[in-house]
Amino acid sequence: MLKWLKGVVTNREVLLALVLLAVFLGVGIRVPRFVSRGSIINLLFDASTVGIVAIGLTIVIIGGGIDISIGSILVASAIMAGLIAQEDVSPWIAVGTGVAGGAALGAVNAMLITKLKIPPIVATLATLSIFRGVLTELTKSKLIGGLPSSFTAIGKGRVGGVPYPVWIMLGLFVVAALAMRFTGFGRVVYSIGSNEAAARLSGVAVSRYQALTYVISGSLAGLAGVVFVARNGTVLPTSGSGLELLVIAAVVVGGTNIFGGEGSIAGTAVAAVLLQTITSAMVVLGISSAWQGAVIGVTILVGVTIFVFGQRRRERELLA
Amino acid sequence: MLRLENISKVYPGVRALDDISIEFQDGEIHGVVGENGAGKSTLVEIVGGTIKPDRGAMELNGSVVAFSEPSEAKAKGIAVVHQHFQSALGLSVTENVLLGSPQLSKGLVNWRDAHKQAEAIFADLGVLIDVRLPMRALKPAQQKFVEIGRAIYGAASVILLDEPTAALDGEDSDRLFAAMRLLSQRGIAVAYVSHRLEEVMTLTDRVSVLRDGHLIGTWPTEELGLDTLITHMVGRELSSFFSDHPEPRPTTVLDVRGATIGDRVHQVDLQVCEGQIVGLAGLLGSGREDLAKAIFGAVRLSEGTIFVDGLQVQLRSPVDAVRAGIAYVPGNRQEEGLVPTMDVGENLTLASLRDLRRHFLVDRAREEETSKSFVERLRIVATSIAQPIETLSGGNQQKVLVARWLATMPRVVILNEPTQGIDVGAKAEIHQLISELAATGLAILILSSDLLELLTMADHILVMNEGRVEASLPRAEATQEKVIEAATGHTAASGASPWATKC
Repeated sequence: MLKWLKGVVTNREVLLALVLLAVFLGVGIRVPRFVSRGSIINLLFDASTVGIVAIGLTIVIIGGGIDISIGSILVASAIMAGLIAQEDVSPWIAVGTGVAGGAALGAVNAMLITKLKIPPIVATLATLSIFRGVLTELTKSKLIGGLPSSFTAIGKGRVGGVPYPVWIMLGLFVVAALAMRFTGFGRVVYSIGSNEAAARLSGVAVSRYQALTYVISGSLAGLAGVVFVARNGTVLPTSGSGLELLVIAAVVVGGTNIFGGEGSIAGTAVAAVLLQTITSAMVVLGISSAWQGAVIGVTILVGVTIFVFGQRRRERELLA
Repeated sequence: MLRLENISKVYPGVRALDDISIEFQDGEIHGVVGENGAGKSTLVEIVGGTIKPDRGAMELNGSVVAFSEPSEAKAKGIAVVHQHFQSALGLSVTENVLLGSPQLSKGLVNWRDAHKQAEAIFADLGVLIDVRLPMRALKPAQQKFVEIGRAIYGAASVILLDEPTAALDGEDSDRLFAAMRLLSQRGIAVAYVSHRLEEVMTLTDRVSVLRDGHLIGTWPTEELGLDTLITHMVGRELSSFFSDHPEPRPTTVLDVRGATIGDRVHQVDLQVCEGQIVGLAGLLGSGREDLAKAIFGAVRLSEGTIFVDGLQVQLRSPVDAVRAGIAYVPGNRQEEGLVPTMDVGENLTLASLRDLRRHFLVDRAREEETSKSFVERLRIVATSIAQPIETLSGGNQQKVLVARWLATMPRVVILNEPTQGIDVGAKAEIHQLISELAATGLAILILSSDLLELLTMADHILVMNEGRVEASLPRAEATQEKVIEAATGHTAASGASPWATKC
């Protein structure tokens, strides 16, 4: 029994979920309305943008890469989808445009990284500026708005009282978690992130799989962009800047090794909700928003420190 | 004088050093020999302060010392020249010599003075090097001397050289030996770590032999013959471990013609027959590994053709090689072989994953079946296929990597340093396994720095030097001396004439 309990508590995802529950109930003692169905739904609703993007980034990071252009891809896709939606076409065409646009920008990253062999952090740092810069110029910094209600329903509509974006996020969490665990793709991505040379020398088409992770990340950022613009009804070229930091935070706190090879979608899912809970809790507790960044930063450090200590202990156990 | 007392160091799965006590006396050249994996490198790293021993103590000139960083060892006068180059290639020779000395980090640097000091060191060693040149402009041998210069800069009382001649030719080696003698005459304790026994025999005053992390003994060199030294090293008579696989069959499986890779490999022909073991010998930088990787598609051929079973194959990447039935078990297990975060089963099926897929999903039942059958067949010692790969011993890890490739049903298996860093018992098992594979009709190419391994395993040995095949020796004609001569480019009968292995 004790051993079983130890197993549960040392499981990172479970540990994170317990922390999430503690934060949630802790805040609930001070502010009872925080623990209501509506509040929980709002929490998940607010977490959905970061959550969807974080799925793609988790896959990229597990594969040994990094993509910091996701915020720019998100806003670029949001603008593309918004512009198409303004033409009063079927909302599905607008969704398709946003996702395909995101995938195309992800493919640009993939090409820079796998063909031109530019280090991922440098390549996506460049595209982070390029994607947003080009957009600002093309749209003359104008706000995109006046979207038809058939399109905005994607962001605002509800099933069973739960908004579509939440369903989309939860569905993608499940699909991605299963894919990373049970498909050949998942296995190969883990192996590349853990030891790229070994994977290559085992006949794995490393570049192709790496490229795929960036395209997936781009597509998901694109989809998140569509949801974003549909929900808010408007988007500016400056929207979503700094988003990449929150997304990276969710991935890292979720236990994914920033150097690749280890991590899980489940961890990212719980961490994304945890970070949103902390942010929302600070709002309802009336703590100055200036503190938010600092608190998120501390959460990252605590999360990663626990991870590093866990790893050291595993190493010691290996020796024993 | 440096004294090691009861030094031990354990790594996951291997006892790297077990209760080692050695005395390096002032003014002597002390050879430390042992096979790959005997513990030589661990010893060097402990003395140099790179790693800490688990147990034991070091005594330098009568006082106990313990280092947590290389700089501390250096400050006490212990200098280490590592096997692999450790220089800042973009910096000048002088900067490399002074690297890590307080002179470079305190206030302004007087460059004229610094250059003079560096020049003095090389004049002393009897080598000519322009100290103002950037490091990358130097030849490997010169770079080695710069590293020695760095080691003796300041006041070294102990200097350790780890395989310093690995990348040097005969002439440069002689120059290096002269420098070592000079240092020992000045009262410095010189430790010479090597597996080149001839060099050890002529150069050293005393020899310590390591095997499997144990100290077998320390003897005055003149009391030892080469044969006794080898016996101490490998722990048994050479004749006791000749491979007993049957005669190769007269069918060529792998046929490489005119293989050229930039200026690293020139016009190499190579054939391996069904059931044949061909050994590829050569020093570091001989082009040996480049050639092997090119046959596996991991390095591009600039010229040449490769045939497998008579059909020409185009190898743009290892992916193509796998399809063509070529397997490559890498030389550096940690860096190029193991996926450290995965378990035994996942590591074992990495190369054959595409055969184990049903639609997009990995067929777990078949994967388990494959893994289990190989674990049994290769006698891999693991509690289950779900055991983390890192917790296996070196020998068993190596077997998993061999199994990874056998699962792809290859025709050609290239093994790069198949027994590096594993203990003697496991080594014998790997050799047995390779013989069995040859007996099943696979064409096998072994790259090894371990001459005994090649001499005992291979039907035929090719020796590479500076990108060319310098000698082609059938088992009956191959001797340690001939291989070393050819590897260092000193073959008397070296000819440009084409040759072929006979099936």
